Amino acid sequence: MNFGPLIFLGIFLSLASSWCGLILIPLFQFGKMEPVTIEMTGEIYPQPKGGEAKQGMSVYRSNGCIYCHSQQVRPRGFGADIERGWGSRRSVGRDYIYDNPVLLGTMRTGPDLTNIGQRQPSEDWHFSHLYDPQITSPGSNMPPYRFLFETRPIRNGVVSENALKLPANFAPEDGFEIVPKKEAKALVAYLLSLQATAPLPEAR
Amino acid sequence: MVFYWIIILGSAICLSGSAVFALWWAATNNQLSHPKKGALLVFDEEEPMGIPTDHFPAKSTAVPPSETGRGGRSV
Amino acid sequence: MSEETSPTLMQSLDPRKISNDSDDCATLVEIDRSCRAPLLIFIISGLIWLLIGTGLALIASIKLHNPNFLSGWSWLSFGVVRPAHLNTVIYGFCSETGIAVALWLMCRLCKTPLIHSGIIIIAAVFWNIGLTIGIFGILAGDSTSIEWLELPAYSSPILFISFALIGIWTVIAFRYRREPMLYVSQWYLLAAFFWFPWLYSVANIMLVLEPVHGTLQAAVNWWFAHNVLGLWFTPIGLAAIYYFIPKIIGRPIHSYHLSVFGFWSLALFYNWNGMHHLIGGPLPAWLVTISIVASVMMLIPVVTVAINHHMTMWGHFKAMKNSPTLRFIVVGAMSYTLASLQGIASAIPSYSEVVHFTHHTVAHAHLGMYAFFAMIMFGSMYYIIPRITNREWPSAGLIYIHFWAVFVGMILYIVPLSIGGFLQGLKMNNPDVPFLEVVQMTLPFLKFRTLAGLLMTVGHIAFFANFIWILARCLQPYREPVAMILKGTIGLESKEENS
Ligand code: HEC
Repeated sequence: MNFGPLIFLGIFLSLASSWCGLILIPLFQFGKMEPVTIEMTGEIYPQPKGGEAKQGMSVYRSNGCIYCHSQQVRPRGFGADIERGWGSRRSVGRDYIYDNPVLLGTMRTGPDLTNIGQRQPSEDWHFSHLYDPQITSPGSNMPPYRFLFETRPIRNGVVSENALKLPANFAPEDGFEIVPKKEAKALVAYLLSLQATAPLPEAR
Repeated sequence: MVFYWIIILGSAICLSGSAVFALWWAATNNQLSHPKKGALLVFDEEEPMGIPTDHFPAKSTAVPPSETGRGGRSV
Repeated sequence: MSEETSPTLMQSLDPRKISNDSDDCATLVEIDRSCRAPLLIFIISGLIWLLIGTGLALIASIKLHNPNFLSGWSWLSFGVVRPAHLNTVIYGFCSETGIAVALWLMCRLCKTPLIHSGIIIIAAVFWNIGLTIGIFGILAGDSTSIEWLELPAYSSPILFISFALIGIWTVIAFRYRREPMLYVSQWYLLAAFFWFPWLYSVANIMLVLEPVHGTLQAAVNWWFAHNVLGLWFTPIGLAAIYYFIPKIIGRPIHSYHLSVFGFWSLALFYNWNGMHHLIGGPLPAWLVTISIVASVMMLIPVVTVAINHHMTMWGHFKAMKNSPTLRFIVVGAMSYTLASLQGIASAIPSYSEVVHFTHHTVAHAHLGMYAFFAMIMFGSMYYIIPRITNREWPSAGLIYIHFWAVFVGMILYIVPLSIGGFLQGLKMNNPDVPFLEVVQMTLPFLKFRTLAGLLMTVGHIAFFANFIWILARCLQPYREPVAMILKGTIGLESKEENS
């Protein structure tokens, strides 16, 4: 066993090297990635999320949407993400530089949401879907998020502007209406902000 | 960024340091010289090799028959 | 207990080692008795976390095929219960019982009583306080949504303090060991106690306290999450296997060389594996490729360990009939091989293309953490608890129920869900199948999983009942015949025949 000492040293160093290799080198390679100006449109991409969408991200985080929804589009020819209409191009590192936490996700019990803001731009659809997914997608196993909504009596016989328009079998009792709470509004603002369509050169 | 440099350098030094130390220790303490003996370390005089040391709780033998009659060993 | 020979706390912390001239090793009874209080605290709380975690698991499982179940409260919604389940079983049950088993193995192999048990008791208290705060935090919506690190920033430092205490204790115990030679289990344990705090602190700093930017977070996340399995749970599990199989059948490990080789190849390859969770994701290809290569290299340690265990057991498989510990340990050891092979397969891109993002991954996680690690812990506890309490397990029947319920339950969980996840992946990769059809296709498998989960729950309750019962027996006076059988005194079989 004269090689013992050599093996010993090699292994401890390799342990350290995995950290250097998998964390530190990437840190220098893309830890400080900057936004770029898209040539065609002249806009700067990506933009940090503002106000309501940013709060919505934390609603998304605390309700654990990530355990059923990914936010990453795999390249064409690897899986069917693009064919399913989940994106027009693959996701790249630059799409995420302002996200914290980065919600790539590892589970697709539900569809990928990278581009949900583009695929489903209707606020009303999202409110109904969150209130009870069976309204828009019968047979879904996404849980209803009723606790993000408030059931309240209709005041002076005038239905509020933002009350949900629900089909009869989901509607509340007569004289009541359902309105989204602040969290639900923020969450939908966040969902609508999810679009990674800018044609980045590295994503071709 | 400075923050990371400190972690990076610090841990690099600690890790290499511990590697060298562990190597030195292993070499000077003969950990690397008699591997065959190592395999016998789970045994000792009390429980020598060749004796199984685990059984299901015995249903009837642990307690003298007179006691089992009174419903196990709930005293 | 030989109080004169154990150093005071101040002496232990003094870098100048006082001479430890008692070269006579502690007796087994002495060691086991010294472990009683600190170990029981870890085991009791670990088992309570197991029951809580099982409950949360059932809720989450039912919700996946019955989304309206308990859907009225935010703290019981699926995305909250699922991380709460993961963290209770990982940091509660698995880590706490893992620490208990590791400490006991450490004392047994160092042939020294557990000195300074106060440190361990304080650590156990901190660990449980930190975890309780963290789980309530997750339920209240403070989860970080970073997988395996969901515990909020205000609880993870408490866990870290506790771990630091255990680390200090390990160093002391190691320094005052009375058996200079090291057994392979000690390699694994020392490595685990060195790797885990390093992983945990780096990951918490880089993701929760001072987060790095962009997809680098994902790299750190999976470097951590994969290594917790490979460099924390796996070493403890393997250390226990390496101790218990030889100990119980009374035959040394087949090849000590192979076991040392297996250890070092694990240390060399495992820590590079994590990025295979990101195949096809928005990270540089070279990063993911390294991990794929390292994952395939894992064949070496896995096959080495498998051969070694199998050859040791060769000709002794019938011993499983008589020993509860051996049953659990052998099943766990086999699951380790299977889990590793499944993991290696999942790291191959063409397979990952199908099974990534599906329930296949969930099945795989349970093959690793439950069928391997939890089984090893159950087995170890069946051996350790009677010895530290000096009482025999009250009911063989409950042990049988436990074993068969979790054994059948785990097969019914893992096999169908692996297949279901694979089919789900095939459907998902076919753009002509509408998404809701994919969802519908998974439901039967998910329902089946709830059934399997119920079976496992039965096993856990049986185990817990037996455990409470043995604790109750501790209040009764010590009885000689019980201890004789525990020590495996020869002639048990012949006695059995007389009666
Ligand atoms: C139990 C798993 C699960 C959880 C948790 C979950 N979803 Fe879903 N989600 C699904 C499934 C399944 C679908 C597809 C069927 C449907 O439209 O309901 C879906 C669909 C969606 C869609 C429509 C996607 C499309 O392509 O039409 C959106 C938007 C969405 N979910 C948002 C969310 C948000 C926001 C959360 C967290 C508050 C969440 N989901 C939590 C399972 C889940």
